[in-house]
Amino acid sequence: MTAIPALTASDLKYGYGREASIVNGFNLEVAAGEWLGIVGPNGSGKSTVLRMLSRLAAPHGGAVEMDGRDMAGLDGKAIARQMTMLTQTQEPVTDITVRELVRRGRNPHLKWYEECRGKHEDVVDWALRVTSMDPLQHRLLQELSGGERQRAWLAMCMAQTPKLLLLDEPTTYLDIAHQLELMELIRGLNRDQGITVVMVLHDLNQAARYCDRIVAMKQGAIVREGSPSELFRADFFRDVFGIEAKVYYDDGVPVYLPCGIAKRGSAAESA
Amino acid sequence: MATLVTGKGRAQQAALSRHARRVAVLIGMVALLLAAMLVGLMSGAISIPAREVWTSLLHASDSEARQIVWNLRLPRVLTGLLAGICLAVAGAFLQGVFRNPLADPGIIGVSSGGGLAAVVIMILFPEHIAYLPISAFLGALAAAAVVYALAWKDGASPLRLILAGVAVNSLLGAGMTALMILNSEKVQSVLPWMSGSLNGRSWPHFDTLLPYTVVGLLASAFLIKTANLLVLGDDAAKLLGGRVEAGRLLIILLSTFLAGAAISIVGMVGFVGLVVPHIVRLLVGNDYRIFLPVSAIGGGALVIAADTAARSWFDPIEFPVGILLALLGAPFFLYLLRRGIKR
Repeated sequence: MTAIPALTASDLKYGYGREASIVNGFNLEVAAGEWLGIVGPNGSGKSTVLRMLSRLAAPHGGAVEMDGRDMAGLDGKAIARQMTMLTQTQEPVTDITVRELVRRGRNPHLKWYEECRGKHEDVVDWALRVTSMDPLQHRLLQELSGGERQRAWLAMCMAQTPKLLLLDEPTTYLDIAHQLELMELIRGLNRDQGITVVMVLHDLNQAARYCDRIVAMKQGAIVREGSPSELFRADFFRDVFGIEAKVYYDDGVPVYLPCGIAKRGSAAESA
Repeated sequence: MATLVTGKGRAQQAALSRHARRVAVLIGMVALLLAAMLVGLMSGAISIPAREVWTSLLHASDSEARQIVWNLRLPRVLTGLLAGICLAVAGAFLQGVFRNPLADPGIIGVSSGGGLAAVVIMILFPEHIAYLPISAFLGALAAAAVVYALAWKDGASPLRLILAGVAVNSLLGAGMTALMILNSEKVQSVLPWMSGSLNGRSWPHFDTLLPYTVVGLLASAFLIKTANLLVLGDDAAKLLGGRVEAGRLLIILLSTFLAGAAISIVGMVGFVGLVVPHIVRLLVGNDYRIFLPVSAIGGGALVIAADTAARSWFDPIEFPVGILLALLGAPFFLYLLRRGIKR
C-alpha cells in the first residue's frame, strides 16, 4: 500500500479554438516530500500546467487532486492552507513593508473576523526567519532588490504554512548568486520543513542539481520522466530540446554542456 | 550576539516608528478635520467668533448667530463632511482594486452617469427637480453597471475596466455636452451642479446622505480584508484563498454606491477621491485597516476646508467648491508626484 500522492493530475487539458492543445493529456503524481522539476522548451505548456495545478487556471478537461480530493470541489481558503505558488513576477505593490506582506500570507488561516495576532504573528516571525528576511522585515517592498523582493514573496508563501509549494521559474530575473541563494533556500524548506516542491525551471543544470525527479514536457504533454542521472543522455537533449549536448558528472550530479542545434532528423522536431 | 541584539532592536524601533507614525497621522487628520469644521462654522459673509459658534451649537436661541451657525453653516459643513468621506473611501477602494493610483470614482462612470442623469432632469424635466438626487444616483449605478458588463470576459480585469470606463465616460460626456448646447439658455442653472457645489445645502440634504454614508461605511468594514488581498494582484489574492472576481465586484458596487450618493447631493465634485487616498497612502501605507479610515477623515476635512475657502474668498460670489478643489488640487498633486514623498 502506497501513501496518497500529495498532488495528482489526471488527463489535464487546456486550450480551445485555434490553440486547441496548449496542454493535452497531462498526467502526474507528486509524492509527498519530493522535489519535482518540470522542464521543457518554450511553449511546451509547463507554465499552464502549473497554473492548473495551483488552480489559478481551471482545466478544460481532467482533474487535479490534492491529498486524494478533487480540488474543483474544495474551498479556496482550504486549498490555500495546503498549497501555494511563487509566481515568476508579481504585481508591483507599493507602500507596504515586507512584514505587512508576509502577514497577508496568514489570510487562509484566519476567520473573516480574525486579525493576524498572537500565534499567527509567531508564524509570520518564523516565515521571515526561514527565508532570512527578518533583517529586512520593516523595509518597504519597492526599496528591495529583485532577489530580496522574490524572497519576500516566498516568505509570504511560507506564512501560509503550505505542505506543497509550486514555483514558476522563480529565478528568471535574478543574477546567478541570487538564483543559487533562492535554490538553497528552497532546498532547506524541502529537506528541513518537509515541504513538497514542484518547480518549473529553465536552467537544466540547476534542475539536475536540486530536483529529485524531472519531468520533461513537449507540445502539452510529458515526454520523458526520471531522476536527473536517468534523463541526462544525449538523446534526451536532442529529442526534447532539439540540441546536441554532452553530459559530464560532477560529484555524481549530471551536468550538460550544449554543443549546438541538433540536425533535424526523425526524432528531433523543431523546438 | 551583540550585533544580533542591536539588529533586532533596530527592527523593533522601525516597527515602532511606523506604528507611531500611523497614530500621529490619524490624530493629525482628526485635528485637521475638527479645525476645518470650526473654521467652516466661523467664516462666511458674517464672521462669528469661535466662542459664539460654540454657544450657538449648544444652546437653542433666537440669536442671529444661532440662525447662521445652526441653520446655514452646520448642515452645509456636515453635508460636505459626508460627501468627502464617501468620495475618499470610494477612491481608496477603487485605487486598490484597479491597482492604479490614478483611479477615482470617475473611472467607472459614476460621475458621467450621474451627471448625464442630472443634466437630463435639470434641462428637460425641470418640473421634476425634486427627483434630481435619486436620478443622479441611479444614473451613476447604471453607468458603472454598463462599464462592468462591457469589461467582462471570463472576469473583469482592471485594464479592461479602465478601458471600458474611458469609452463610457466619453460617450456620456458627449451626451451631456450635446444636451447643454441644444439648450444653452438653461445652462446657467446646470453649471454649479456640474462643477460640484455645496451652495444652499441644508439639513434635508444631510438627512438624505447620512443613511447612505452609514450603510456604505459599515459595508466597507467587511471589505477591508478583500481589498488588502486584491492590492497584491489577482494571482496572489487567489493563491491566498481570496475570491477575486466576487470581491472586486463587491468593492466596485460599494464604491459606486458611496460616490453615487455623494455626487447626487453635491454634484460632480472631483479630485477628492483621487488626491486624498493618494496622499494618505504615502503617509500610512497600503493597509486598508488604517488607510481607509484616514482617507475618510481626510476626504471630509478637504471638502469642508475647500468649501469654506470657496465661499469666503470670493465673497459675495459663491464659488463652486469643485472648481476650487481642482484649482488647488491639481498643482498640489503634480507637486507630490514630482517630489515622490520620502518616508
